[in-house]
Amino acid sequence: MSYLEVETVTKRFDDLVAVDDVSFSAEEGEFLSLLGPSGCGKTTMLRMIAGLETPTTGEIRIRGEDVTDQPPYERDIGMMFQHYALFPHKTVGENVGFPLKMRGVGAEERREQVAEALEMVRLPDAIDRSPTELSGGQQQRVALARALVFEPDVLLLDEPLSALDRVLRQQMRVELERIQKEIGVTTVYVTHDQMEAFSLSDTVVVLEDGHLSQQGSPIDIYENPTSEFVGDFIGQSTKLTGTVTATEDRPVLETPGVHELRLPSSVDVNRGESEAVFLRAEKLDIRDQPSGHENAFPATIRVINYLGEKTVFYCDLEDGTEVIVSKQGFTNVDEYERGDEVYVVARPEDLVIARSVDDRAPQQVEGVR
Amino acid sequence: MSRHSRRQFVRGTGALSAVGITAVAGCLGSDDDDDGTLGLYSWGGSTQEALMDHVVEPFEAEYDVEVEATSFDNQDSMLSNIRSSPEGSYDIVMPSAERTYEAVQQDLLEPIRTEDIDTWNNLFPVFQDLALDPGDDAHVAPLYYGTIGMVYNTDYIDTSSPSWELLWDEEYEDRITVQDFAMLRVFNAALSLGLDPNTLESDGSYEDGLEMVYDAMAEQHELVRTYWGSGQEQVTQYQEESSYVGTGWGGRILALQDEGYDQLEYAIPEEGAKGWSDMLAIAKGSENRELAEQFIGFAYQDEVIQDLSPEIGYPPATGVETDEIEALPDFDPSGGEGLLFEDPEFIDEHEDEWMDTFDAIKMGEY
Amino acid sequence: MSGDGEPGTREPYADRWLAVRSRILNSPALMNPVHWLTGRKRALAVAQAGVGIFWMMLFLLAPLLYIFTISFWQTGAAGTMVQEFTLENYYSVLLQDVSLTGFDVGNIYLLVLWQSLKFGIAVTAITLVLGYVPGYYLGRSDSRWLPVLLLLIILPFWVPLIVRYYAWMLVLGESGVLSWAIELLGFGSRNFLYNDLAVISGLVQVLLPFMILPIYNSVSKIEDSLLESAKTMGANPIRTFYEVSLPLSLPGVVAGCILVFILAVGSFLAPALLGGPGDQMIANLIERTFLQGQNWPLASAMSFVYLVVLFVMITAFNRFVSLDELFGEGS
Repeated sequence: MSYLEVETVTKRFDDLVAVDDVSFSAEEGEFLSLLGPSGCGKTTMLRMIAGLETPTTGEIRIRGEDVTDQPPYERDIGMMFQHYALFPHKTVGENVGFPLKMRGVGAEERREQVAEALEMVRLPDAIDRSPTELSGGQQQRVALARALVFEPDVLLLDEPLSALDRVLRQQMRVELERIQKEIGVTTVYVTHDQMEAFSLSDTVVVLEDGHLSQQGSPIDIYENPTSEFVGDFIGQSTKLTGTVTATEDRPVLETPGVHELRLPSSVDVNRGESEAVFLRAEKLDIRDQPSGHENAFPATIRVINYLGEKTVFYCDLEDGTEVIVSKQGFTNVDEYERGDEVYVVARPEDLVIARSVDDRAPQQVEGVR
Repeated sequence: MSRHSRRQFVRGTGALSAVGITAVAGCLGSDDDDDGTLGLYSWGGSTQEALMDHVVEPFEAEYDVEVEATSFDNQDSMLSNIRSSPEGSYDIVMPSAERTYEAVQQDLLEPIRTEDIDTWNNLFPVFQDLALDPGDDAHVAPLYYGTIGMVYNTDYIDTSSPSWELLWDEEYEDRITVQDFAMLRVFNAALSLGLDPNTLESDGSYEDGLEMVYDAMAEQHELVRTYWGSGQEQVTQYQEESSYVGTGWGGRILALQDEGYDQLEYAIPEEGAKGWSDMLAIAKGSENRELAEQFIGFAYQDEVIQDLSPEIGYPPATGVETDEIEALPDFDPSGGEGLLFEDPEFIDEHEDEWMDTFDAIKMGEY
Repeated sequence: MSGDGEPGTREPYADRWLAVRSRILNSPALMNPVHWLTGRKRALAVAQAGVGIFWMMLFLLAPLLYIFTISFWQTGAAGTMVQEFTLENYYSVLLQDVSLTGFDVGNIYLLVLWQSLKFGIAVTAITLVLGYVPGYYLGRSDSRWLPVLLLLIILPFWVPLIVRYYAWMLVLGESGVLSWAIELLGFGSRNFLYNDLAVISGLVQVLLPFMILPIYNSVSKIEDSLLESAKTMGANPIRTFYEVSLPLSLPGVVAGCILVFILAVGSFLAPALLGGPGDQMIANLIERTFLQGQNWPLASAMSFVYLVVLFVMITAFNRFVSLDELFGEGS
């Protein structure tokens, strides 16, 4: 029995199926992310865990107790909303003390716990201020303190960083991780941002169009996508689709842009079948000559984005397909310029082929790094 | 001490207010100086309709002019509008007897050159030189007259000789309605007490008489269901049988009787009733003074006024007599001599005080 | 236009056309169109504000100023005004028959004003009680019938006020609906018109939308997430209501109360049509003084005192409520 269990949950709004037969679970203290593009049903899923929506079918259990039909105020859920939902008519202290007040905690004890919670989010002096006077980042900390102050069973976070600017977002991400680890609260985190999900989570649940696409550790999701959707959605990659042509020694994929793309020998493909292969941007190379490389195909550099820690090349293959190549610490960027004819090199073992769990060959992609 | 009318103030203090006032006046009045357009600012409703049918349209046809009609629903707003509009905004206006004195005193009316009106002598002598029109010149041309008499419902009140006493009869407590007008309340109370309503003197003392009048008003207040303010409110009171007895206007009651309210009776009580008259007059600064006089002369023709007056419901101020006219509730066979008109100077002197006291009575503070 | 884009320095035969053309091309409007436009926009905004202020001056301040001025004039014979300074009007309105030592206030104006304020307070309180629930319901509703329901609230505004009061007379009157219903229940026929209650109920009936709409407006602005977050923190619907919805709807309540109060205190038709012989209100008194009494200076003084009293009351009320909002969370 897991701490939080979501079992075959479906949610319908009139004709729309927002969440379709989704099951997953989280252990105590686990950080789980619901990742997916907007409209994939991740927020609806979160709201069902909170009790703000009731599943059409299925069951949600917290610590083994079926809470599916429990109203939110009877669950012990700490939820942080996208725009924080701080009460503008109450002070920061009153906001943070609100869940305690609702639980009948006396004023004296409440004050202590509020102070403690604000200490935790490093805003001890804001207690008498109005939330409307605070910056976005500060409001976020208050919202977090408010969601945690009563030591809830589960902490739910709905895209909490999306309203912050980039620098702040990074800071808060680190902060969030620190606090979550410190308290060890089981956390469900909704995001569309892969980096956030990967950096924070023990488990990532990828949702696509209402149903669960893949569940696993970040590394699992990244390296072994079980569906084309996940392969495409996760990471920066180029998708090449073609037909498997040769299988004697090595399978080869015949695509319009590359002609012959050699696949890893271990991959389980059948001749004549159509396959999609993902070329991870950071695993590709740029070379002046094709010699000595298995998969080297001509391309023209269209755009060079020098970003400091990495350089991103946007290249066009012969048929015009765009290939993105991302190089870490690329210092000789001056040697290249727009319009250069180069070769893009992809090692066969770095190629990612989406495979559902049942028919995934165990030998696939072993040689990673 | 210099007296200033509203208009002089506007002229004197200039632009800002004047712009606004003119804009408003432009909407209300007809300050066309085109020859051939005459502005008529009259009572609205059925009076206006009757005027249109029987005077305005034939006049337009005969003189080949256009009459632009606008209307008011009470004397005071008419006076205020004339007062606050630039001169020449109105041609013919329609003051009633109780506001004639104010209209003349406030210098809102042109004198009427009666010698230019060949039908002027059709008027009863009383109306040719109306006592309440101050000064030597005539400023108003009475069109029809009436009384402020008593209305009672014969289903509840059986009387052969109606008296104002009925309005103080405790038997009709909460079934009495009278007009919300201090001056009329004083006039009426005086009549019922047997005092001269234009002096209020009791044994030669105004103060004593006034105290009797106030006492009577306070006594009546306890019995009154509501004070009516407009003709429509008056009609509603009697029509809905909210009140069984009170004061009223003959024309309104006549209209109700025509609708089948036969139980309603209009009477001039034995103590007499205040007379009134509606007049045509020429607004100060009218640029169509001559045409306006022609209009008045036109209205006084027997064949015009004998149709107009029964339609409005009040007898004409001219000598013309038809069966229909004689049957009107307010018809006075003595040619207006029997009407009790108020003394406007007396009223003007005391009205503020009467109003204060009437308000105090209403607030239970008398 | 300043010639900030000076064309070429030496063009001996520079013909006029070229100079003009380069001037046009270098004009601020073309060189920096955004800046030029925003500059003009500001000018436009100033012009718009100017029109607004002018309108206010013309239709609000100028008449007020006029009334203020004549309130210091004397009254002559037959309703004329004597343009000579006096405080007599204000004395009549404020001090006449007022004996402060024994609290013996016999001043009719003040009594009528006090009665009007009482009516205003009663009407405001009742409309608040009756209007809060529909206002709140509409504000929280996401029904597709919402526009229709709102339209129904506004619909009575299409009917002239006087007609609505006459309709109310038909409800309360001798042969009215209420009397008929009570008779059906076996009680005797009664008349509910021409008393305080008729005035108050008529005003409530007419002014209710002015309470509902501001409440609707401020409730509809409360974000769902605030109520939801209260629930996730353990507040049941009732506590959610008085901890979150109620305080956040207060601006609407305040606006509604102020609107209804002003309109009720200043009502004219309701006391005239529905009231009994003693139901005088300030607007009727001012109207009578102005028209029947033809005493413009006195009526102006009355109007002005009324205006000041109302203004002071509303300011005080507003201050009181916003203070309450600040310190409201006592526990």
